[in-house]
Formats: sequence, structure tokens, C-alpha cells
Amino acid sequence: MPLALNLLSPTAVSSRESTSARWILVADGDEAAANRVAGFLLHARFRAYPAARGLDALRLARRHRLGLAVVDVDLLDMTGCDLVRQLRAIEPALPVVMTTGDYRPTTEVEARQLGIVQYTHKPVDLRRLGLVIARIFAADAELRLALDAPGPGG
Amino acid sequence: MDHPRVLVVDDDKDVGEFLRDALSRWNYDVSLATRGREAVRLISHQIFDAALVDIWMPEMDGLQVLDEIKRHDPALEVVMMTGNPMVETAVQALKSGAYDYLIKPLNLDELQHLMQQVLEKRFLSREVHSLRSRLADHLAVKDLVGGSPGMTRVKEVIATVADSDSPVLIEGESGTGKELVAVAIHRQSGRAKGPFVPVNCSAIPADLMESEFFGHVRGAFSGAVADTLGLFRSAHGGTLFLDEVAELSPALQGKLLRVIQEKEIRPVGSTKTHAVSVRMIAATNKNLEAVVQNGSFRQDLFYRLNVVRIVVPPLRERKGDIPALITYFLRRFNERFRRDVKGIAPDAITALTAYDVPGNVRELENLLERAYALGARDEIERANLPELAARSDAPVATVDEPIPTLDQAERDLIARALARFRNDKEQAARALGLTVRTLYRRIKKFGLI
Repeated sequence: MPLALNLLSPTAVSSRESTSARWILVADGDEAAANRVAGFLLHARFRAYPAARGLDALRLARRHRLGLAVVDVDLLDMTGCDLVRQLRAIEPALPVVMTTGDYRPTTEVEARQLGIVQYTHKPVDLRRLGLVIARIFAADAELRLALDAPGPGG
Repeated sequence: MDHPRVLVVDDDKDVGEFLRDALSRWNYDVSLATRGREAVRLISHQIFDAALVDIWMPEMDGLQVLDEIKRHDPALEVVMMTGNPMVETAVQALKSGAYDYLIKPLNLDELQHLMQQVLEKRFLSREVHSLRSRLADHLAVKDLVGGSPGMTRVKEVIATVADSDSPVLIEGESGTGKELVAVAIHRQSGRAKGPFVPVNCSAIPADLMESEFFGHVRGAFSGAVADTLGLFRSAHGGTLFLDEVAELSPALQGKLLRVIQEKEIRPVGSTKTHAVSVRMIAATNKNLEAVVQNGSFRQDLFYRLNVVRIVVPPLRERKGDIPALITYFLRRFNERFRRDVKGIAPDAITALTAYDVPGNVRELENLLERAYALGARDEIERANLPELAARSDAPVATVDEPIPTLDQAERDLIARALARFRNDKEQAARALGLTVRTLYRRIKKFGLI
């Protein structure tokens, strides 16, 4: 009985939320670029949402649990780095991929200090992005398999 | 915020009055407008916290009012109302920034609940607008809260080792603040002015690890349109924090060892090497020695990283720190939610202390944040910590109370799980360790539907 009670803890429960039900945010001040990536993800049956403005991105993040954010360094109303910091205030463990058309090293140094999973120059290599997504979802799939098995959980 | 201000815009006077009555009863200050222009005039010289706007109005319809509101105050959340729901209009409203829409006739319970949500968002969005500081600033040394022997030791070791360049291995359960410790070391080191680059080793796909860590040159692979620095060169002159270091692929473990030894890296696709001066801090929630024993982690790399080991104690071993942590979080959340929670009720703190907090400090923070979201005002009360009630009221009966029968306890647990997951049988079954079918049988047995 105490075991089941443990499973009702907020941390345990929130980590059991299915990641595949979560949204992927694609934020880029260049709307066409955002739409391209989001389109690819939608086609692959993910819930992807393109945004050119940080404010729109944050609105989404407050309404729906994000599984991943693909954020460009330049957005229409703020920098991508600022958006990432604000997203992390909502969801501290959110995996982030940063994209940029700016090839300067200083941009990369600033981005990597946010703690990101991948830094990629544009145009975004969709295959490599797919590897990141597979990794995030694979972790969740393993967790779900472990849950379905009988015996101690958590 | 004692009286949140709500603007109601509806050309139907009866609806307007009805809403004003309901909202006033719930302690909101309400302003009414029967026309869009009137609403626009009101928002131009008053600050509102939320707006309820009817879609179908003469002269200026709700969508136009929505646009005006967003133009004037993008953070003001607007809920649309309509007696005549049409998909296109609803989608348009949401795209234009409406928070939600309600269908008339309005359900008061739904409205009340929604208003609460909307106002919480308003608080959050204010915080977002004023947020300036870099992430690193949040993680200052003073964030290592606690005067317990365990934490005091941690801080002593940090002070001792910060200034050298020796690698540090931080061990501790999830949610104990290992990254905070790493930042504290960085901040107290001679590298404080340099970059602090955190890496979650479990998040990076194996195929991308080399180029993420060591960078690549243009043309190294399809998609490599320009040179990148990679994690090591980005951290040059500063500190590289490898969280969940046990998750590094074997290939990368070997390369990491060489970098530590040679102090240089070679980008993917390049023949050139680059010297790097990076201080390494690694962290794990595993017993790394055991991982080495079973062959998943290189022993030579382990020795290189384990020059200094800091063990961060789990929260249950430093319960004396809980009051200080609560105060720390209350200050933070008061600022974020614009509230004045002055403290925590004795029975709430007792419950928190009795609970063994498996998720450690991060879970404590979540519990308190939820208390705020659930409406904690003057102080955190036991009632603001509902999940806690489910746990610490565990079927350990006191001398006075009768021990529940297994059936009673099981019924209670199932009822709580259903409430917790809002009747989602799949999730409830999963949490209880039952198949959905078994859960349905139990529900039927106890007459819970």
C-alpha cells in the first residue's frame, strides 16, 4: 500500500506524463523557417507549434506541457536566449535545441551557457533534430514499459 | 492582490449584471461595458487583470475588442464568450490571443475556476515581463540554503576546492541541487568571469555527442554548413558541468579522458586540434563506483573525475533545513506571484517535515509552488498541500483511530487516485499499479462511479 502512495507524489506523477502527448515548440523570428520545421514535425505526427514571437511561445508553454523547444537565437520580440530563460522558469528541465543563421562563435558560447541539447546552424538538419526527439521520446517509452511491469515502481 | 480587476464587455445588459454580481461575490472589482468603444476607452486609462468579452456585439465585435486589448496590453488575458459557437470564430479568437472561450449560458463553477486560472497566468506573465537576469544569476551561492551539518560540509568543501582547477565529482539524488553546487564552485573559482556551460549527458543522442562536445567544421557531414565550437571550446576559460555523467557513451568516455589528459580537442571533420582550458565538474545520481564495477563507466575516467568528491545529502537527511528552504521559496514565490504569504501553518510544516520528500528540494519547491497556484494567501496551510495529505496520512493509524480495513483503505486510495487524475482511468490505474480492467472492477466493487 505505501508503494502505491509513493506513486501519487507530484514528482513521480509528472514524470510519468506521456511525453508523446507534449508539445514541441518551434520558435524563430523567421516565420517561414519556423513553419518548415513545425511542418516536418506535424507530418511526423508530433504536436508542433510554430511561433515567431517569444510572447506567443510563452503563452503556449503556460497552457501545455512542452516536451521540447527548438528556439532560434533571433525572435521578433526578444532574443532566443531570453525566451529560453523564461521557458525554464516555467519548465526547469525543458530540453532545448538552439538554432541560428548567425555563425559567429560568440553566439554559440552564449547559447551553450543556457544548457542546451544541441546547437545547430540553419538550415536545420531535420535528420539530426529527429535524433534529439527520438532520444527524448525513447526515454519516456522506457519509463512507460517499466511502469507496466509488475513490482516496485518509481 | 486582494481585488483583481475584471472588465466585462457584453451588449446584453442582463448578462453584464449577472456577471458583475457573480464576479463581485468572488471578490473581483468589476467594470462593465456594453459596447466595444466603451471597453477600449476603459482599458486606456485603467489597468485590468482579466477581461470577459462577448463575441457578437453591434458596431465593434468581440474580436476587434480583443485586438484592441492585445494592442494596448498584450499581457491582459481575455476570455471570449459566445451563445453561438462557431469553429472559425473560436479558432480566430485563440489565434488572436484569447485565453479561452466560454459558451453561454455560462456555468458559474466553470467560470470561477477559469477566472482563477487566468489570474494566475496574469501574475506569471508580469513576472516574465520583468525578468532580466541571466539564468546564472538565479543560481547564486546563497541559493545553497541550509545550516545542517551536511550542507555546511558541502559549502566548506566548495570553498576549499573552488580555486584549484581540479575536477570535482558531485554525487546526490535527483533534486538535491547538484547544479547549484557546481555553479557555486564556478562562482568562487578564478574562472568566475568565464563561461559556465552545463551539459545534460543523458539528453544528447549518442550520434550527436562528438559534434556537440568537440564541434565540427564546415562540410564534416551533410548539414554542417559552418564551423561550430562545441561544448569544450565554448567553455574555454571557464567551467564545464557534466550532469548525469554516467550516461556518456563509451566512445565519448574515452575521448573525454583524452581531453582531460591532453587538454586539447579536435572538431569532427578536422585535422586541427585546439587547446582548451576548461575546469570539469561532473555530477551523477548514481553510485559511480558501482557503475564502474559493472563495466558501464571507465575506471580510468572515474579516477580522473573523482579527484574531489562532494556528496549532497538528500533532503530527508537534513530536515532541519526545511524551514529555511521554505522561507527561501516563499520569498521567491511572493515576488513571482505578487503575494504576501507571511509564513506557514504549524500543521503544514509538521506534515512537510514528516514526509520523506523523495524528490528532495525540487519536489519541496513544486509543492510550495502548487500551494500558491491553489490560492495560498496569508500563510501556507495544510489544505494547500493536498498531495501531501494523501501521503503523510498514510494508513498508519494512531492509537485513537481504528485501523481501517483493507477494503476501506483500498477504496480510499482508489478514490484519491481518481480525484488526482480527474477520472482518467488509465493514468490512475498506472499510478496504482493496476491494469485498467482491474481498476474498473474495483470501482464497480466499491461503487465509486
